[in-house]
Amino acid sequence: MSAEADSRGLAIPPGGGGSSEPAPGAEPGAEPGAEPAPPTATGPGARLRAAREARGLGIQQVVDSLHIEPRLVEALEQDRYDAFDAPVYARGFLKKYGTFLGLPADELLAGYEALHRGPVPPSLVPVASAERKPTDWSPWRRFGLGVVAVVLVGGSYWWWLTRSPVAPPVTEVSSLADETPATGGAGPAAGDGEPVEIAGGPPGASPGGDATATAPVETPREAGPAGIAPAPEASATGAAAAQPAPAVAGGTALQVAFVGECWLEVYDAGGRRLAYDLHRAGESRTLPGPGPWRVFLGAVDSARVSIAGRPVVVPQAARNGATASFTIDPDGTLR
Amino acid sequence: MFKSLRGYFSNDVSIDLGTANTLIYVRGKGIVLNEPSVVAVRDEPSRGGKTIVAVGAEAKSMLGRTPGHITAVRPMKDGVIADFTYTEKMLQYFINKVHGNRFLRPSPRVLVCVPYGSTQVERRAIKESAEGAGARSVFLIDEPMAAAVGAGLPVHEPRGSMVLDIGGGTSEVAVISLNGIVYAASARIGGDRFDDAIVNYVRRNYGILIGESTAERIKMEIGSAYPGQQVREMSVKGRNLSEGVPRSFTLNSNEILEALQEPLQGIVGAVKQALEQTPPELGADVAERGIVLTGGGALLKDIDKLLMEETGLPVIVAEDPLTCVARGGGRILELSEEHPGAFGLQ
Repeated sequence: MSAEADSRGLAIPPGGGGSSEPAPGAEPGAEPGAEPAPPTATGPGARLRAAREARGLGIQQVVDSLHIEPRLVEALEQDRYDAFDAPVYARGFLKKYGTFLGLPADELLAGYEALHRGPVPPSLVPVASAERKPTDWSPWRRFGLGVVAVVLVGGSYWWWLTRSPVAPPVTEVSSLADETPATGGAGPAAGDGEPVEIAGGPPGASPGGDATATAPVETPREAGPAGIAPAPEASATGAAAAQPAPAVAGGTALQVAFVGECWLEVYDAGGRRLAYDLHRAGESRTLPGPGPWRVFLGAVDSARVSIAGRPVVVPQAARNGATASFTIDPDGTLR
Repeated sequence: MFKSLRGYFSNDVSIDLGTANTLIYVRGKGIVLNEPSVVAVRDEPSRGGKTIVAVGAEAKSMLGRTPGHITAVRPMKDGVIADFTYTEKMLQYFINKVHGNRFLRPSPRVLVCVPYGSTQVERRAIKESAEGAGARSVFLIDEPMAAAVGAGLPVHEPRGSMVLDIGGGTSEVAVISLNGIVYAASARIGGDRFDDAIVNYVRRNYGILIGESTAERIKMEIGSAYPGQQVREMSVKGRNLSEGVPRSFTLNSNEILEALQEPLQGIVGAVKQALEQTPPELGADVAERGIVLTGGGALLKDIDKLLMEETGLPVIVAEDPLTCVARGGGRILELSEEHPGAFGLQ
């Protein structure tokens, strides 16, 4: 600003402008060199200029006396108060200039106020922060967040409650009485339509006999729509036989019945864990396919393994003391 | 708890706890109190202590005119608390006076303007004093910042603004940018030092003793900081030290100018030092915008001219310089509510 402003300030010949410039009191915009458009309302600028010229002073002499920049002196004379950063400077310099020229400061300030063209008062609003504002943990905000959290937790619980009947992929053992009404028919896995019974006795025992003798019969608790196709005609003995009818598309399921306490771990072909639990006597599990299944039994003598109702004997080679670890194919072959 | 309850019935106030005058700005009302910081105390041994007789203008009228059992004291000295108890009482009186007679004792949020050069101990004393006077919460702000805001300087801009606040006990000069003080200095020179200088001058040159109030009147009527075109005169009465009787004599403005030279040069020195210490970019801004004067000392005739000639910078006196600090404090209190942390209130 300085070079340009100074050159403009010095361009007006000190004291010599009077003859070439308009008469005192004339519109300041009439000056040939004036860049901005002349103000429409008459402010104190014209009076200041007239008084300066009447005293035979140039702008540079004013600058030397008041130490105000030339561009600001010009701005005062042209009523361009937006050249000042704040009203305090515009008013202060106007008052100072007026006093220097022997003009009544009050009248000049009144003229300035009447113009309504001064700089805008500073807002003093601090510079915005480049960082994110810290979280406002006001009590109301905390309360609101608490309510939202409670609603979310409650909603999730309700959703879980309402959805749980179809959720678990693995069927559970339940009492015969419970199962029968719901799953009266055999599943597709029991392709022959016969009830498949879960080994209640030793391998090789008659399935039928066992079915009636041993209470536990398993069936998927939630007869999954995909897994169990209702087969009304399937077996009048459905009540007693509730077959595991594995709910898997593969068609074959692995059943394990327990006559004593036994740890069971089963992984399917994809490595997905199907069972990982301790079972007690009387319980049984039906595990969906497709095979082969990787099985670990904690107490091999307490478990009866069967595939599609056909008992499978765990060979000695697969045993390691009381435990056994083996892989069983859907056709009942052990590896 | 009761304080917060009473807070609902109180307005936030900004207090310029000055050495000479105390001003109170109430939010939404403006300056509601401007009284001398003087307390008159009566000795009452029978009641086991001292009681406050008068505060403010009434007490000031007693300065130097009290009988033996009454003392008129100024609890503030050099911008800081000289007497904790009386300052607290004075503040309590002013706060109650501002809020009028109400059923509930007022408990406002209070912002107190403190000199930049005050120590942590002095600041704590002021804070505790305001709390003792019933304030719900007390914030402190540096006087130069409050003065700049009260004068209407665009302190939030990334440009330098220089303000010189000449108070009763201290003069504070500061360069401010982005709502913060870049450089500030506090000189313990103010209106009181001007009065003392006049008292000393009269005693030295006339052999006459005058009081503080008389010296202040002389300063206000014919005091000047720069040689003027006309010489003004004033008739003054004092006690002749050699004869011991009251005498009348005449002082002129040139004599007072001479008397004030020492404190004035102290202020000029502080301003020059501030300009030396100001970073060059901000110094360029100050050279363009000039120095803005606030405080009661800015009302001394031609002090702006003196500073202008000494520094070579434009110097302007703010509108209503006496109330700039209190008004600025009020504005800061309002802004801090809208923009917490804007001014780093303590």
